[in-house]
Amino acid sequence: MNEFALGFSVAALMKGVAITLVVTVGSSLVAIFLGLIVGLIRISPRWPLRWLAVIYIEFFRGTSLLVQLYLWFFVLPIFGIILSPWTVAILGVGMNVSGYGAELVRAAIQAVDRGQYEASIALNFPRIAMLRRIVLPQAIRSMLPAWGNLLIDLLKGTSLIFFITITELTTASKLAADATGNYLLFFAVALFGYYFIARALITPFVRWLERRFSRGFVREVLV
Amino acid sequence: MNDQTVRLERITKNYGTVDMPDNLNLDVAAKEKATSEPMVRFENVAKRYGTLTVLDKLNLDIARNEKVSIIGPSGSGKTTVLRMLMTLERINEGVIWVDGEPLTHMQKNGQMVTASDRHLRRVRGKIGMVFQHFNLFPHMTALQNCMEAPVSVLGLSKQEAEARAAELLDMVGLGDKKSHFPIQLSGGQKQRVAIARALAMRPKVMLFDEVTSALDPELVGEVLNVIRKLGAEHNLTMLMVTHQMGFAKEFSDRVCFFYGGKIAEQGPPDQLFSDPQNERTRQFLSAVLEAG
Amino acid sequence: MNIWDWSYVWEALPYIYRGAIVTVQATLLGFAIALVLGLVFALIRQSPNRYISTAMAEIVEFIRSTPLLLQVFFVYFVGPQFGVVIPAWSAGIGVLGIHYAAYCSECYRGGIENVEGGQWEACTALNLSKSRSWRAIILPQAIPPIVPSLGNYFISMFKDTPILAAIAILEMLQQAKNFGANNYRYIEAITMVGFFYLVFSLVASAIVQTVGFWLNRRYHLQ
Ligand SMILES: Nc1ncnc2c1ncn2[C@@H]1O[C@H](COP(=O)(O)OP(=O)(O)OP(=O)(O)O)[C@@H](O)[C@H]1O
Ligand SMILES: [Mg+2]
Repeated sequence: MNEFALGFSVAALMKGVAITLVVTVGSSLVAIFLGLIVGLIRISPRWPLRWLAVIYIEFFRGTSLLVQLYLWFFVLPIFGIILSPWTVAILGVGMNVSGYGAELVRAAIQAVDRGQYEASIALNFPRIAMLRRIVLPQAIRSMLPAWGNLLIDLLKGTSLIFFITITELTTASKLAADATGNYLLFFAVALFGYYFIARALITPFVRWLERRFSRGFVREVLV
Repeated sequence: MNDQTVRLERITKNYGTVDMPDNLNLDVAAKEKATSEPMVRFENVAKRYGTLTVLDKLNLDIARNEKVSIIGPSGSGKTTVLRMLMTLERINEGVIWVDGEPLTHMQKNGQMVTASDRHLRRVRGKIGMVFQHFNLFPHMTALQNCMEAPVSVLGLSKQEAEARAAELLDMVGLGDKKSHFPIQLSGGQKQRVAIARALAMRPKVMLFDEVTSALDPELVGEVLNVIRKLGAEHNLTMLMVTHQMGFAKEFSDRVCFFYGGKIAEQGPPDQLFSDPQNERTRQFLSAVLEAG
Repeated sequence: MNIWDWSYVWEALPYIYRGAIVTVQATLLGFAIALVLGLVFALIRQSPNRYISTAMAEIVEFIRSTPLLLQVFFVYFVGPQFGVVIPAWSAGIGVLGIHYAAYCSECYRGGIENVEGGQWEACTALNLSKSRSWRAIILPQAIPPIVPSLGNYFISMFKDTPILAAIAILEMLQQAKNFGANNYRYIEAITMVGFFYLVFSLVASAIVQTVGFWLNRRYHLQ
């Protein structure tokens, strides 16, 4: 194998890692933001809003991620909406995951002890303040572990933008492997790259968040 | 006095369109009301869950500053009475009045209609409640638990709310536990924080639902002492569901015995406990006294 | 040009039908592998040998944190580098099965660990052999409660099959995309596939829920 090709491929792989990280962070933000909003709408007292949220959630969870990426990438242009591959990647992956995230938000909010709602009513909190100050802090704490898994799924999902021509880590490793013929090396490196991002970045980050959000109030998490 | 002007202000706020003369009439009317109207009135209130009638045509007046204990067997509807008053449950029939105005209903175009959320929230502000299982906010310290509602509901500044919360925590004997989280407190301490939290909203009526039932026996006393102190030092109307017959007897002005969703008997504690008229009351009391 | 043209729908239907058969076959075969292999993983994980169980746990963790697509590439392309050619179909279904076996093994583990400790003690007291205890006592209690979660992984796997297109397996979405590319019209074919996935997911999760509910009830009756 030629030294130049190898060096070149390693550089390309590093760039792939960077792109994967950018897309992961970008679509995580989209997923968290939309998941929170749709999850809250999902429990709104107004049924038309609730139904809109149900449709959103079922659409994004029910159709496959790759189908959604193709819809944004190949079908939207028919309506004159041409999105760049980057937009499709970040919004596409983010919105897909936000469907699952919204369900986590809904479940966590509904799992907050009924006594907390009753105390909030007895103290006369307006609905918004009750959600923001009493219910959400508790719900967020309890849904964080599930979000940790979801963000790892999201990271894995970013590999599918292989199909829409962005050279993220999977694509980069495929190109490098094709160029050098050394499939074992580059795919193994890429696999460990994902493993590293998942277990050395995402998991500890979510653990840290868990500790922050449970600051002081649940003993078992502290020890 | 001062209280009265506050009241007048509130009335003008609620009926913002009235002009001066009417306003003065209202003042007079309000004064009259303030002394004669009961603080809480249940008028033919019924509550059903599906086909199960939990409360049937309940009529109950509670005077200003009166301390009323509710006793009765399990399932007789005691908790339901408090929860309806706290608007945690809707009622199916009748009207509940608080401080001279309807709670469950409101005037609209000269008719009584079901209360809107706004109306509920305004009238509900006069009532505070302490729960059997505390329901403290686990992610906030004792102090924050007592500050949260005054800040986000009453609009107090952080400093004012903190001063008020600190004073109340001192009053319930927890001045040194202000920065403890609920998980770090004993049951009795949690319940005292819950009392302080409710008081921080300056309610006129306080509801206690078996507030000592979830406590270890040796912690019951400290909570009852706080309630005693409240009764002695504050102008509060108190309505409590309790299984502590001794406390009900000593503390309350009136005891109501509930049976099957009705008030089977009520009267001053001395009379009700020593000379019950109703056969059910007699049975209940002897069963309770035997057990405890 | 119409936004939606039914004639394309009829034209695309045979292609999508062909793809759908591949998709369904891949899901069924892949899930069969996942169920069996997942149980094997879970049992190895329960091994009394600490090294074996830790190694298994790490492997499962690794499989679960890396993308299915890359795993498919790995198996499909690395073999030929060393002279072992694995057909796309075997590689695709095999990896699908292994990937979901890792998830299923976690389900099984949850189920196994939820069986009361007393059950093992009873097996010992009755002098049952180890394998007999597993087969007759532990697994029959461990598996029914996790059927709904296994069902959800079945649905997830179904939605992951389009990844097989990367190694030239003509599943449903790839057929739709090829049809689109040939006719310069994507909307009908891709929408149809999306619709198909949606209907499948909704129906399948309704079934999973009903089965879970039914199992639950049976359980409380016991
Ligand atoms: N949400 C509900 N749905 C259906 N029935 C209910 C509900 N809440 C209460 N009930 C019924 O209403 C009746 C009165 O309940 P309540 O809680 O007021 O009793 P209680 O007098 O407080 O009893 P206890 O001493 O056990 O607390 C009971 O028969 C109970 O089963
Ligand atoms: Mg009760």
